Amino acid sequence: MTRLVPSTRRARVWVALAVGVIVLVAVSPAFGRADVTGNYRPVLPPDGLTTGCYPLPGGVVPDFEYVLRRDGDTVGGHGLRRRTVLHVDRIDAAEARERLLAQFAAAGVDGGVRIEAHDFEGIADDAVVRGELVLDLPVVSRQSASSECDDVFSTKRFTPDLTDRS
Amino acid sequence: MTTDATRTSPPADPAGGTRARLRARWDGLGRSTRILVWLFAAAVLMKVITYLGIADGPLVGDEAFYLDSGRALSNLIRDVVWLRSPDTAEIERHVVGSGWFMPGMSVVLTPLYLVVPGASLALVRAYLSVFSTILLLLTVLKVRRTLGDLPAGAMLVFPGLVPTYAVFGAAAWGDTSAGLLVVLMLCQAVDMLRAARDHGTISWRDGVKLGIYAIVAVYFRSSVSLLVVGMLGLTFVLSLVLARRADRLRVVGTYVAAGVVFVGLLAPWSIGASASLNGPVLTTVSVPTVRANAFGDRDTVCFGECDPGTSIWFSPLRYSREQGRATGLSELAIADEMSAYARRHVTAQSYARDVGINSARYFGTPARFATLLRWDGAPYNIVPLAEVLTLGTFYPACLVMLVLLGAATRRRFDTQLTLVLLKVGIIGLLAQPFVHIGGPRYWTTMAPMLGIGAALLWTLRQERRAELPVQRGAVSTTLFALQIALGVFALAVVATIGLLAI
Repeated sequence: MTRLVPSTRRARVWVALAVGVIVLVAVSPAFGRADVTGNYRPVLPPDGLTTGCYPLPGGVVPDFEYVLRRDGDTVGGHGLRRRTVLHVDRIDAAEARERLLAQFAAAGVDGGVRIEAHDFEGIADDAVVRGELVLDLPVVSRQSASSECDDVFSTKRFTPDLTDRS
Repeated sequence: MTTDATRTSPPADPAGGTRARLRARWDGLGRSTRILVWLFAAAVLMKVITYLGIADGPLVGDEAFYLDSGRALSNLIRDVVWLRSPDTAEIERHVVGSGWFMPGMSVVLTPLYLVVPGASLALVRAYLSVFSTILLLLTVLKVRRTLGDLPAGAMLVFPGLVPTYAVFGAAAWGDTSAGLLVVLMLCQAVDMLRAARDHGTISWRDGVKLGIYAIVAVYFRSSVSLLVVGMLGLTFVLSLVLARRADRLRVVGTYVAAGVVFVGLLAPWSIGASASLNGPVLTTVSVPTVRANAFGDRDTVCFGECDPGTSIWFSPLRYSREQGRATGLSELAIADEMSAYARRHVTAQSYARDVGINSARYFGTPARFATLLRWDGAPYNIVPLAEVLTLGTFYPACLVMLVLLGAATRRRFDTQLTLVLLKVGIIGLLAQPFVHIGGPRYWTTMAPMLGIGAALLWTLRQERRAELPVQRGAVSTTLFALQIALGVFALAVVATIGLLAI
């Protein structure tokens, strides 16, 4: 109990400390702000199909919920082709494929577009992420000078030198 | 002590008088206290030696977050003091972040950034070193009051004199601080259970203290949550067993106070983080991704391979955030789906093997962080010292841990109680490799308990040699049964995992 009733000297020390802290806090804005680096929560780069950097044929943007996963050019049986991978949300991959093909048709894209669709295995019917579309498209060159087009986490046009840092 | 002091006064020279008074006071301390003072001085010396070895070294991993978060909190206080509207975007992005870390260490760093907004890394490390030294001192004092000189001294030796532990004291992770808070909590629990035995009741103030220690430990490192819940639960049940029948309601009130304090201090974080991340956050939300990486197929964490170029933590995070943006859902809900998908082929055997791998990483390279944190411009290389002293003390401490888990006594109430609480603490922390990728940082949380445990084993030996009588009461039997049960549980888990893995 004696500890709860401090001696005068002790009380004075505490009061001085408290006053010191209050003064410090009060004047602290005068020292300037602390600059944060933000390494641990980078700003999310924009969706690569909406920036105009490497648009889909006819400028189509899928009318369903999707995430762009990979984009880039590959050499196959039909020469140099663009391969774009999307993950589809809330609807089956097959339905997404039909809707995207319809969008291409409506945009006047005739031919040269093939889409493979498959659902992820063992996914629940009410799952959000449902399946994958692999688009086989004509090659497109960079359509914009914007610096967004240099952000591979936006365009998903990864280069082989990017390795995992785990 | 006072007689000595009066005998040497009054001196003509005031400085000489102070020296004489200090001398008299030192002489009056008693041998074991003097040894404790020397041990603490040695621990401080070890902090200084290791500090010089890492002063201007690199920031490693999650440290970057804690520093940023401390900066953002200092800015928040500036805004509040000058009645500006706080930068909520900054707070959300840097204090809540991705909900991976609770801001215990960030709060510790806030006063520094309040005074020196542009603090250099060397200054941050010095500040943290002083902070961890003070926390160590306060913990040792509490251990001394509650458990005695021997455990306090043992704690100053291990981990106090272990270079890698001292290195962590200058780093921004909360693991070491959480470990010390766990010890404070353990001592508080012992105090309360003694009070229940001796007086039949416990003051509600003690409950408040217990709650504060528990929640601060969780704020420092949320991986102690399981331990904290286990220790709170056990202390509660034992208190009811020990309390007088008429006072049981009061004892319940004590724990209600502990619970209210715990929940009350957790709530600002949980509510703020849940609002910021648009999904339920209790402590942290890294567990789904952690489990996917630890036990699932890393090549399918993002329903396929994640983006290259960043780590196994940031690529899945970007994916879940992108999905969250596309669907308008919380990234947390997506992370749960990702984790379930990556773990769809997990079998009992693959899980058991991964637990084994995690455990190896947990115990494998205890001095690793001395290498990661060291500084090229250092006057000397601390790594050899850290390797020799850390390996030389850590593995004996692991042996102590195993013996503690297997030990059982029914000779003295205090020894029984400490042993039970240490077992709960060790088992609670050893849950880590079962849910998380192991790492050479996590042992530092358990280290102070192992130091205390080593002293306890010595006490057990002394009690056996002195042939103290075996207690037969209901309380003693309960505590004895708990010791056996916890030991058997630990053994059963290890045996099961071992059998499943082969």
